[in-house]
Amino acid sequence: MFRLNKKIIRVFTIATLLLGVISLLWLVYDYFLYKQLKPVILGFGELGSLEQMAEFVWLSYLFMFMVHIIAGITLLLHLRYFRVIRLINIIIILLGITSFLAVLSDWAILGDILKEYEAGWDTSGEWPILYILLGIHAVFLLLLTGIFAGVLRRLKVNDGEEMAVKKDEMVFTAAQYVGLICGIIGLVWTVFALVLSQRLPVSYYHMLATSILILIPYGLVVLYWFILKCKEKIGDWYDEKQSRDVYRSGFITLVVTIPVMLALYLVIHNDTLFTRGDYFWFPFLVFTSLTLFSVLTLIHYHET
Amino acid sequence: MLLGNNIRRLRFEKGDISQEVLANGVGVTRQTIHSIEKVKFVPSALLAFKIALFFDTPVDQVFFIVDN
Repeated sequence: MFRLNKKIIRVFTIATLLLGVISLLWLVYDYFLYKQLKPVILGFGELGSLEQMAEFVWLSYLFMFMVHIIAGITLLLHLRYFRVIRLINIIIILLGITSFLAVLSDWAILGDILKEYEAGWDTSGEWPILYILLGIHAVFLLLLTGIFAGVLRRLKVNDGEEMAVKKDEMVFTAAQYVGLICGIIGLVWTVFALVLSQRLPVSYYHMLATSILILIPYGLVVLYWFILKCKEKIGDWYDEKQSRDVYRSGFITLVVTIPVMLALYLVIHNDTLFTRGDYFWFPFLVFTSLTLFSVLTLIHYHET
Repeated sequence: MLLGNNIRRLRFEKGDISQEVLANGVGVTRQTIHSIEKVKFVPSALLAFKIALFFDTPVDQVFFIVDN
């Protein structure tokens, strides 16, 4: 039980750190976008290219939403493992809840600004609130990444009775968890976009850009794993059980996805059911394969 | 037929060796050692010999066939 908790804590802490860094980058994007948007909207000018840039804002809130959920779970695991509640834990929990609610408030305020701008009303009252909320997110994310980096270090230092293995399984497991999360989010988004496309124009480029962005966390973990493995011979990248688990998961994924994707292809390309559905099939394939492969690898790997 | 083993007993007999130490000694993950111990994973001949060598014990005293 003790070992299992420690492993899970590491996986969740690494995943939260990754999402935290990505969310911080998105926050910087949002800040500079709002800085450019504010004078245009207050002066009722033409949005021009800013409109296209603003269309990606929701993605930053998607990542922000994800990091809050995962951070909440990880904090609970930390508290359970360390069995100590420090002042910093209380601060981060309160700040986390405030920041989480602020994500929803941000969304509402942005909607209000858009409606008021279209109606020709003054939006000067909303902007300071939006900046304050951005500040809350920034403080929370900075504190979160700092604390979690410290926890990761403490977990390594306290490894007295639990010696670290040379064959690292943490990155291998973390990659499967991140793959699972990205796959599920991607599937949910693709279904949502397919339904949305029947009413609003969802372009090929929207789907491509959003699919790539959703895959970024998985890509980063795989890249990190690849950098670590570059020092080793290809034959040593996995140990023999990992190899067997990866091969089995890959084979089952292949066998399952062929009929499922064939059926989905026929459904999506059925013009009586969906119009403009042809470019949703490939994201479906990618995210279904990723979800299935990650979940099967995790099941096989922990099958004892 | 299954491939049973005495790894757990040998770990304790040879001085309370942890799964991590054994994993490091033979170059696999702790999870692999855990799965072999629980008879959920059949190791390759190479790994079986490495484990036997680690314990300085003949391979047939580490692994044995269980006829079910």
